[in-house]
Amino acid sequence: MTFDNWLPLSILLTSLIPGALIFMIPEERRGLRTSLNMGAAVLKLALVALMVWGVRHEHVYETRLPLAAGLQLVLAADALSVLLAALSSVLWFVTTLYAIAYLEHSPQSRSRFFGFFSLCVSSTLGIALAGNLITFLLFYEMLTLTTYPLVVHRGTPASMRAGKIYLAYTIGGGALFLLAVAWLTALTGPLDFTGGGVLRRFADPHAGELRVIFFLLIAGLGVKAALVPLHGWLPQAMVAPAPVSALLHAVAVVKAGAFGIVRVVYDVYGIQFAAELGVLRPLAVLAAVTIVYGSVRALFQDDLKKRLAYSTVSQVSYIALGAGILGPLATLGGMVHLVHQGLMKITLFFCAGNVAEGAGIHRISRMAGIGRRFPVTMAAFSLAAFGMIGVPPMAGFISKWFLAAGALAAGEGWVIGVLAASSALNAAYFLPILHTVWFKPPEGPPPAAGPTPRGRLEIGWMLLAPPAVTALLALTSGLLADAYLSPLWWTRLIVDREYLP
Amino acid sequence: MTELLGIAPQWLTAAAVGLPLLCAAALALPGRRRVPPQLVAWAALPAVMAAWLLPEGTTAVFGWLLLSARLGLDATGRIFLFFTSALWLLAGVYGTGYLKADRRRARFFFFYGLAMSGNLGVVLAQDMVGFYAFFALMSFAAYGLVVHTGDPEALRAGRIYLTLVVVGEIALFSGLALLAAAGSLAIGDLGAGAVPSVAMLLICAGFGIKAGALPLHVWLPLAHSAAPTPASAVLSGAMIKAGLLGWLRFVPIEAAVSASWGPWFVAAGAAAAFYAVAAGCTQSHPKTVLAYSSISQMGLITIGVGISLFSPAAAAAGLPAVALYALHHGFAKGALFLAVGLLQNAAPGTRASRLAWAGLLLAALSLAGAPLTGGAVAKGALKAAVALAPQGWAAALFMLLPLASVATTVLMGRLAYLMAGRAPGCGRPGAGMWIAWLMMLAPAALLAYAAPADEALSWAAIGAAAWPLAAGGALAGLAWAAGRSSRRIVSAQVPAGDVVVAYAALIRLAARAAAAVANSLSGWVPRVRLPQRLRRQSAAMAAAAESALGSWQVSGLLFLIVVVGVFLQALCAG
Repeated sequence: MTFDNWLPLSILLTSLIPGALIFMIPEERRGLRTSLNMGAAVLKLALVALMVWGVRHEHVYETRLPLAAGLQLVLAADALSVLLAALSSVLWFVTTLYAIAYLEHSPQSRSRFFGFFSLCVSSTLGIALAGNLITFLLFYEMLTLTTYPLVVHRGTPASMRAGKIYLAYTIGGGALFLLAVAWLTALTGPLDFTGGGVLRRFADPHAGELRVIFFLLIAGLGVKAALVPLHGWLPQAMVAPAPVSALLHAVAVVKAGAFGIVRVVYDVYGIQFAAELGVLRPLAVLAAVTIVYGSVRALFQDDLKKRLAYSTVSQVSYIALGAGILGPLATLGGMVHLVHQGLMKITLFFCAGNVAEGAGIHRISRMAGIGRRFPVTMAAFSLAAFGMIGVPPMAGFISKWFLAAGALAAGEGWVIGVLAASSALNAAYFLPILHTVWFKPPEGPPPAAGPTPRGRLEIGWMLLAPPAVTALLALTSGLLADAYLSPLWWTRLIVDREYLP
Repeated sequence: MTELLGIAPQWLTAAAVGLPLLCAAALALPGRRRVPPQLVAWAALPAVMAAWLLPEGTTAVFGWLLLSARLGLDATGRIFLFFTSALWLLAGVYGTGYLKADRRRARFFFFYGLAMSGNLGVVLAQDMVGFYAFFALMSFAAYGLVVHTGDPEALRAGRIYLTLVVVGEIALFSGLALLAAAGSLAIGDLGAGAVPSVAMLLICAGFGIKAGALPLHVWLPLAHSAAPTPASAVLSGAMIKAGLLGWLRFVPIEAAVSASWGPWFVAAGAAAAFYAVAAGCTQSHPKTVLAYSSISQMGLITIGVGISLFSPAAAAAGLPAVALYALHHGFAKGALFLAVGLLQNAAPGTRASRLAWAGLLLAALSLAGAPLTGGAVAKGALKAAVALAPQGWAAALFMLLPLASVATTVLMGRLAYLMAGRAPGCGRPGAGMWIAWLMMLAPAALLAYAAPADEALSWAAIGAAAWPLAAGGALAGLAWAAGRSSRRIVSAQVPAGDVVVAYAALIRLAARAAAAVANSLSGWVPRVRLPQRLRRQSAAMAAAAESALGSWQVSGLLFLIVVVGVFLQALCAG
């Protein structure tokens, strides 16, 4: 075994081992826990950066461990897995910083929280690096179980109820997915993810079964990706603490589902083969319905986090929409939205958390004039909101642009209508917030809740830096879309490798 | 000449767009008290320099920016950059004095800088995505200018403005995506393939909103008059032309497909030219009258665009005429708005007030196309282009154009009437405001003497330009006399924004329907409801899992491994 063989596993272990260790750290050893958390995050960032460099230069990183008879745990790095791995390690870093500050005064066990937090990130990285369906399934289930304690962290009746709903949905989805994977494995034997797909040679006698399995897979993944009508858990789960919501909506759970759909379409079935089976159009229609439905629901929420949650339902389906349209441009638009949506949505949740933590405000109707109280936070929020609407030069525009171009190239003109409707609805539920925040005079004395701002900053720097950084990343990934190593640039690399060979 | 100054073109174009952005950003930084807001006005200087110095055909490619953005200057772009940059600079200088006592002027100049950067970027952009990005920046930033005063009228105007901005953005996104699918992203190569008529419609409507084309003009009278005066000047003088430039850039003028769109443009322009005057004459606010006048003037420009679509020969004369008309209208309308602001500030009867009156009348006459003013030159160029239109159209337009001048004169009469009856001002505008205003007035009035063609100075031309003014003046006088004898005629009023009232009612109806649909849907897509027993079981399962995960802590990991093991066993058995 060489270093290249060990790298994927080491990346996984950089959060798995600290996660296990954190459980054992006594509650009051704050410094030790923080340094372990941040140290692990930095180490993981460094390793992922190394992997990004390697994959760029066509290195092969692969860890194979035998699991059981005929089954292997495969962790491998291709361009697509690096996309999610890089996103999650960057966002994990900022979210850890944010969570440390956010939970400073939390009465609940912080060791439990950060332990599961690290395990949750390990699962996400496992999902990113999984080299075959079995490995993917393993980490997919692990993600369900590690996020549950985070969702119910507050321990209030509302969060316990949300946790139950969350478990019911995700375990149900996991069961469907397990069934589908088992069926497929029985049919074909174990298969590694391969660019261009591997199932074409089984098409002859099994085309019908493969169609059914495709929809079982999508249904299983669609629970986490919050495809309508399997999205019910997501708006409930927003009772979790802000850093958890941020992670859940940007990179962990929801993204795992979307990433799974991308894997199944491109690397298990192969998009060409999926198109021949006729399963792409239904996927695209499902995604389109979700996009519009989520936005319409978001319009009627006054609770900021709930509005953001419905917005996630809508936005994540852009990824599925991109996977549902044949052609490199649509693939580009959908895949790059994996990153773009993550950056924008995590910013929005950080900001919602800051407003809740700093001023005790949860409802949009009470946010009048808080731009003056939280200038940096709300500036970050505004940038991300414009990105969600798809206004250039924010990242969201780039995704929409390529989705539109791809849809037209594939002759699916109706998608333009969906994108237009989504933009209009996004504008309708984000712009009033921005108006309220910046242009309405504050109502009465600001509600006194939470810690008062120290020094000249509106809120502690550990709560302020994460949204500022992610908002800038969301801006630069749009503004510098054609620059070297931008998300778009990297996704082009994936698409080239996917379509050309 | 740029080499002479040792400035590379890409630096000048980048500075023209970037400096206003940087200044605005500096205003937004926490220590903003130390940055003088008026700095933003002077940030237009690199753009002014670019308009004078950059050689035509310069293109700087920024490969790392957006989708390989290109900034550059072509013949049309130079004219647009010339008046756009000058207007932003002068209105900014004027605004420095106008808003001296405003405690929110830092916020005003922040949005002013953003909108300026957007508008200059629109003029310089040579690729589709860059154009669209700058257009969006300009449109959204201008919202901050429209609602600046914060009174209910401004907020209503802002809401209507923003709604139409979003509608326009979406129409443009769809239209440009369709257009891009038919060709490349660089502006020079557009329209090579067949352009679907849906794309044409979306692009025409999307830019038409900004240009105040009928019936998408409803936001304009509200927003242009609600904004503080210097912002009104750039809204009506410069930003409105971004819509026009959008047409010139993205409607494939030379392609055969566009010929069929010519009549539509001409008809829409003619309708706007007269309808806006009719609606404007009933307004009681001077700035609203000026806003309606902008719609009317943009209608005349739209006629010019329509003529250019008829044939390449017509385009060769029509496009320069359109650009010249836009330039003249930009300066004249800017000067009119600033004069209204000066008159509202200056005490009546003083020398200052008389000077402002003289300037106001001069700009108004120029707008109406009085002989020996810039307006006559612009109208002359438009007439020359009309001559190249197909026979029937040319004849009809030769009749309509003088009538449009009559209408403009009447509308300007209404403006003068309103200004004469205004509440007396008591302030004392600073020297900077006067200088900025005079510099804006000069090109509007003196353009005639800079024009190479001396036809405008011939007696025949003077006569042709003079009679509509005389007729309009007589009509305005008649209306004034009639108004004095019977109040009823003057008190007939169209609400500002005219058909916006009908639109608002429609939207309310649609929103109510959408809410009803959403509510019924939320019943239709319920949370997954498990059967009673299963629900109790899963609840129990969840409770068990809760306590396990809560108390086990360290063994949490172990638990996972067990679960995964079970799954894998199931798999192996399968």
